[in-house]
Amino acid sequence: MGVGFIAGVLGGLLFAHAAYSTIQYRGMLKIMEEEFSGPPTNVVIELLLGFVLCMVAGLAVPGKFHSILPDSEENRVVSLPSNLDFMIFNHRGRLSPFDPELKLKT
Amino acid sequence: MAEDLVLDTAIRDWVLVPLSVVMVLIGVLRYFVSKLLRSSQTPDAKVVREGQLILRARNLRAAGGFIPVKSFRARRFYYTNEENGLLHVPKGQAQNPQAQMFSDPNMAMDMMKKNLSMIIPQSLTFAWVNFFFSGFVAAKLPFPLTPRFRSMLQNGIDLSTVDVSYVSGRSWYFLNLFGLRGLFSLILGEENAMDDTQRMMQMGGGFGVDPTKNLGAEKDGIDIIQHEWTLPKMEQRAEMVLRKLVK
Amino acid sequence: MVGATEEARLNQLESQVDNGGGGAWEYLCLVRKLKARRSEKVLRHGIFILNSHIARSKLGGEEWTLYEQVAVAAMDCHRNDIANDCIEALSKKFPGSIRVGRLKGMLLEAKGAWPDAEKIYAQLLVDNPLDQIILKRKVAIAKAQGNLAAAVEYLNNYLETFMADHDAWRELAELYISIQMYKQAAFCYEELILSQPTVPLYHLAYADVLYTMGGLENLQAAKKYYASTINLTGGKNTRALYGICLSSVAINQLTKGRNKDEKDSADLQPLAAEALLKDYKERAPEKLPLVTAMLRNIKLVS
Repeated sequence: MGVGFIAGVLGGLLFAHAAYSTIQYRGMLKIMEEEFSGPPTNVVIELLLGFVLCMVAGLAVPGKFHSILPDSEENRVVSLPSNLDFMIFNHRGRLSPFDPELKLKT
Repeated sequence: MAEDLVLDTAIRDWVLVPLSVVMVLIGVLRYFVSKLLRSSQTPDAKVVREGQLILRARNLRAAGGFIPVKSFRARRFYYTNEENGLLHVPKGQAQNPQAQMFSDPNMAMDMMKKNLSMIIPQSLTFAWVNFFFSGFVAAKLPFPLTPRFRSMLQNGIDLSTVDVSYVSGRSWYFLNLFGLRGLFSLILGEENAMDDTQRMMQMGGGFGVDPTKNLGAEKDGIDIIQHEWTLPKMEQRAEMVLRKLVK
Repeated sequence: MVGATEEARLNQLESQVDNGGGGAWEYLCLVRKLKARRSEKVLRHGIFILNSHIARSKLGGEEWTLYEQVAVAAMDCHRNDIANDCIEALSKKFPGSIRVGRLKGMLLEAKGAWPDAEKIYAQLLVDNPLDQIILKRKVAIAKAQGNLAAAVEYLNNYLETFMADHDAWRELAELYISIQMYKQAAFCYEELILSQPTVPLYHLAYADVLYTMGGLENLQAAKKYYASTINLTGGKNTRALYGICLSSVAINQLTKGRNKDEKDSADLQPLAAEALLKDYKERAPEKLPLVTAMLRNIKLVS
């Protein structure tokens, strides 16, 4: 959020304004009875700017990028999950019973 | 059409809202009925085994470079030899799914149940809508549309002069039929929502794919690949990693 | 797979919960997600939640998952009375559920009543002959009785059908190692590497097995797999560093100096030794002299 979101809103506004000015420009051309050859330069610049802003927002707002390197902190596997399906209870825990105070109230 | 049509508020109260509500309710009802009818099928051991086998063979194909040549060759032989390789399917044993379906009445039964739970309520509601609500305008969209949408939005009204943003009763039914998926996923939970278009597609390809064909394809794939051990490269790379670490 | 970040988060949550900082439920969820075996903590904090009415009602449907988790933890801590209470609560809620049946079997296992447990599992298997967890429990029963050969046999039978289950392959590899059948264990680790080629710990375990088997070819392969472990962990795995040192020493002893094809990776062992020393200097400086002496003994550092 924050900066990225504002950039996105700004980009959207720029697009809307570009659309509006193009419509106006065409209306003006119709009055002056000239052929429409292409949008005026300031609209094109506006579009490009809006595109860049929206791109920034699209990259920044939805979330963080995850690392793809196998040795980065996020991906580095430090231990395997204990194989709980094969867990056995016949271990030394039998000899040191666990806190007898603990009880499940029902 | 210069001036707007004025729709009676009774249309909203007695057509638009009831139709939508009924569609939602029918969707929910159908979900529960089909859940009731669905027999919990226990997977066949052989089918499970074949699925797992394909997974394992695919792993070999994808990551074969990570194990030594000797191990790779041993595995390849184990999977693909012509006598008793795991992926080798003897000719003639491959049964076609159609025959399998007829030999297993449960499967045909399942399909029928699935179809029944879909077709019956659908045809009933369509008949009901057709009888009561066809032939008049039920709603107006708040935005203009091109005339191409006429066949979609004004089903049952044969007037070319009506503006396209007016929706006929029957079209409202169709819009609901295809558009309620999002709502169902909210009501019934993400994975339970199945809209009718999906159902129809499933019906087409509902017959199970032939597993033996998969095995054969996997066998060919394994036969083709060349083994290239990636580990020797790893030593140089590890050297680089360590050099960076030590520095 | 437990990533470094996740493990750090788990430990941080654990100390937070232990010191009464709250977040017990989050901790329990993380334990479940990472499949960690921290039964004592799970038992203590799980019971705390289950005993307080407000905390329990906040969980909604997850309450029953917690009951299951606590039951298993209680068995692991040999508090069979608590496990029994949990299972009773569960079977009242879900009568005839196969999952509860499984828990009952496990409780019998925890009590050491192997034949009874097996009977329960056999009954459950009649309805679902392909229940993976129950089939695995049968392996565990054999293992708990110390009958490793039978455990291996059961597990092999299981893998005949579920041959893409890498947890089972891992268990089989560990069983084979404990009965010193290294060739078979190596096969299992190859299978694991095939199914998850980016998990460094499988490469490491495979290298260990190869190193244990000995012989020039195996040692060279072991060194390569240690190298790939270093590669995948960014050199942060101490065992892999030791492995490089030891396997290259062993290779040198076998070849007696006429090392022909080892030229391209001659730098690896001094680098590994150096990295090892650096690692110790940072994390355990008091043990540094020991490591230096050891490495000097095998002539890797002067």
